[in-house]
Amino acid sequence: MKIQKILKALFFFIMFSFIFTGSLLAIDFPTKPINLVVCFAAGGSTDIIVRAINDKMSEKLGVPVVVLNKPGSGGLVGGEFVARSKPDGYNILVLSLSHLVRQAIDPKMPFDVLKDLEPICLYVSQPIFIIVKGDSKFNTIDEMIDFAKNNPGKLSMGSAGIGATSHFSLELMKTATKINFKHVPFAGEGPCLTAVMGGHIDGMAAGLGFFLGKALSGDVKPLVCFDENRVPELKDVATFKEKGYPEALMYSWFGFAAPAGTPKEIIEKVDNGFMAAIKDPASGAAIKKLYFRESYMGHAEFKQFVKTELEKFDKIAKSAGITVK
Amino acid sequence: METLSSVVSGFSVVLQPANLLFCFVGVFVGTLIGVLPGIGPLGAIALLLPSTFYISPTSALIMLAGIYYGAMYGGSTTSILVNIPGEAATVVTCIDGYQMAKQGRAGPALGIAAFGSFIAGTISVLLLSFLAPPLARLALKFGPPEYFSLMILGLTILVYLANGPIIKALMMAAFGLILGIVGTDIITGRARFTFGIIELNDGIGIIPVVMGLFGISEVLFNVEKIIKREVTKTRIRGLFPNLQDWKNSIGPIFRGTFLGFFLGILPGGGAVISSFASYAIEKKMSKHPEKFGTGAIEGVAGPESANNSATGGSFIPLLTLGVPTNGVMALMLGALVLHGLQPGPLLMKEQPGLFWGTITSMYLGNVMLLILNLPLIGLWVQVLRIPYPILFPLILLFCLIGVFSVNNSVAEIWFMILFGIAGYLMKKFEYEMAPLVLALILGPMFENALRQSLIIFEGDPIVFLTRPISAAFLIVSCSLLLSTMLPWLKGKRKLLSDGD
Repeated sequence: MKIQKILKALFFFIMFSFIFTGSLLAIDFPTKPINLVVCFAAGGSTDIIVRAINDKMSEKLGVPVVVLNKPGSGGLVGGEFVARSKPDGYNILVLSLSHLVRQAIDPKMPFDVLKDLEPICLYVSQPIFIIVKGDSKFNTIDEMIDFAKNNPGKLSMGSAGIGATSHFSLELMKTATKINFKHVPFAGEGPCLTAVMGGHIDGMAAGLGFFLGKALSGDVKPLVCFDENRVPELKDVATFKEKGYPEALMYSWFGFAAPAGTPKEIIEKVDNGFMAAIKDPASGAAIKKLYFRESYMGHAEFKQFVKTELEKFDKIAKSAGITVK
Repeated sequence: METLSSVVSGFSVVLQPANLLFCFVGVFVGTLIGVLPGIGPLGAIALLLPSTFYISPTSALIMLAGIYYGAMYGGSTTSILVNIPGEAATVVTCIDGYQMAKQGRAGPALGIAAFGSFIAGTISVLLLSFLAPPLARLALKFGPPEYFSLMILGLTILVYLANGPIIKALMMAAFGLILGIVGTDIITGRARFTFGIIELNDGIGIIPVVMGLFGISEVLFNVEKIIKREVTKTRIRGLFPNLQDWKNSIGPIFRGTFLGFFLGILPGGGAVISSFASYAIEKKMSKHPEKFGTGAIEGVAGPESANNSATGGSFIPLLTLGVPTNGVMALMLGALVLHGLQPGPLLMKEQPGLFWGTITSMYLGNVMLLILNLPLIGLWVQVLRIPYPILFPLILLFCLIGVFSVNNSVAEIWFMILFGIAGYLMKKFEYEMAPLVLALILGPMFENALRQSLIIFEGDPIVFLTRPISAAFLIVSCSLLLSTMLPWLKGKRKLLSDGD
């Protein structure tokens, strides 16, 4: 009888110990394909810049890294999907500043970027410009600002929608240069660009890759850049900083984030793997072809970056009174 | 003739074996995609986009273009056979095409759709080759005020889609406008009537609505009826359109081609609007408008030609200006960017091989599609002979898969089912569905264009009349409305003169 009791106890002890080996197995990552959740439709700029690198990531991490498109609601559908998924490192969100901008203007967002997500690393950035149509009466940003100061509310600038990067760039321009103009939202960057090229609105804010071809052909004219320094592809275009408006500083970026609560070892592994992929020369070439800048930032630095960016957008949203109740 | 030599050089590009193969693969895949309800060219191109990374940009564009207009060909097949639109642009084909199928004339319907699409596709490519740059400039002249007036015209003509009492059609149109409100308002960024359901933030999707209203409701309706032998085994009368059919269709085909081409150039739903507009025009011009809705071949020939030629037109802004006109074109733009090309006005000059190769591939693609589709007509017609108890679960299955494939969203499946039930009730009480669909598409565009115009012009509505293109559309809309009053006015006059 006693032997049986001991054997029973031993049996249960062994069974129980299997439960705890579960957490030991977590370090054995990755063992199956990883989903890279892109919050926009295939073929869009977000999708393309991610597809330029996911094969390299597969190489460095040893498992397939697959792009999963979950479009909808300007990034909310994909964001919520990852925020609510298991923190096991197999669902990674492509985080962009549109998620942060959304949080700054939407109190009822279904998830919180700081609380529900764990930033992993920053990937690329792209400079933003103010563009007008090729034969516009404005040749420099000074002319545009002068016009706006002398004719308050007459200038019309378009964006890809409320809360879009292009919208916030305009608001930043407003607060930095202290001018007032009409903001015309469109259902996306494409219709907005068409309206600019047709002369129906005066200008818009756009990322480099989006308009560069048309700038080179003369169909649009870039007036000013929101970057720290002049951009090599458009050396003749001044920055807001040069013109005396150093607060007008922003650029669009993409990074990666996992659900909050993902174990530190997994975050580190992913960060290291992604870093190797991003720093690889072949990736560098692909990124350059798409007119992005490789801007890798590691886990700790990126986390701080996300915080400061969110503060920046909170400030802009509050001062411009933008909210999506 | 510089263009002619460019076209010839384009042919030399496309006649290379690799490109011919990609063209064929594209149109073949496109036809399959078009036939399967719900899954549209957008989904297929999105899936195949990454694989184009490994082939040359010219071949990639040829293949993707083939998928696009191939899907337009295939989309009409299910519309005619089982009243399920393969795409929003083929909704109108359901109206008369399905009636023809019920009368055993599915063959001629499919045939005229194929021939009409071929003629339209070829003509639109011809127009594209010679008129691309000036037309692109014309498209740029369309700003928010012009879109507003175009939408007014669109909403006016939707009355012509009604086959029954106008009041019922108007009720359905009003309902469509109300449904169009659901979603995020782009002017203020606020979500309207979404009840916290995140999938509604982008509005009620058109695909679930269309597949529910037309496809699911038809299945429910048929299943309710006692399935008589005659319904499922209608005698198949002829596989190809006869001489009378051709005589009736030739006008609609040419009118549809030109209408579709010019509407396709405009960013924003060219193919859909052009198919509805073509239907309305044919009905208005017909000597026997009461036949529409009961199987008039003009109601198939016109819209099918229009939506195919709109695909040709929609390439223009992309290839000449680098501006995409719809989701598919945006993906093509993505494909070009992926290859390091910058689509814009310089593309034609810097990459003549790509530009003219793509355009000439469309000629060949249209020929391939005709050769592919004609023999298949006999096969498709046999599908109708499958006993309905076996056919309808398959239809439901394809609808479910199709809707899910668009956005990987289970919520959209529920919407489709909801609209299926609604559509069934509408059928029972004889309410029209086409006006609802058109209003659902046009409503948001109309509202956005109006508010954007008012923001730009600081609330001054006179701008709609002072800008020539906008004024033209408004005048046409007014004339159309007044023309429907003419018989009534004539009657009144007669009454007055008789009373003397």
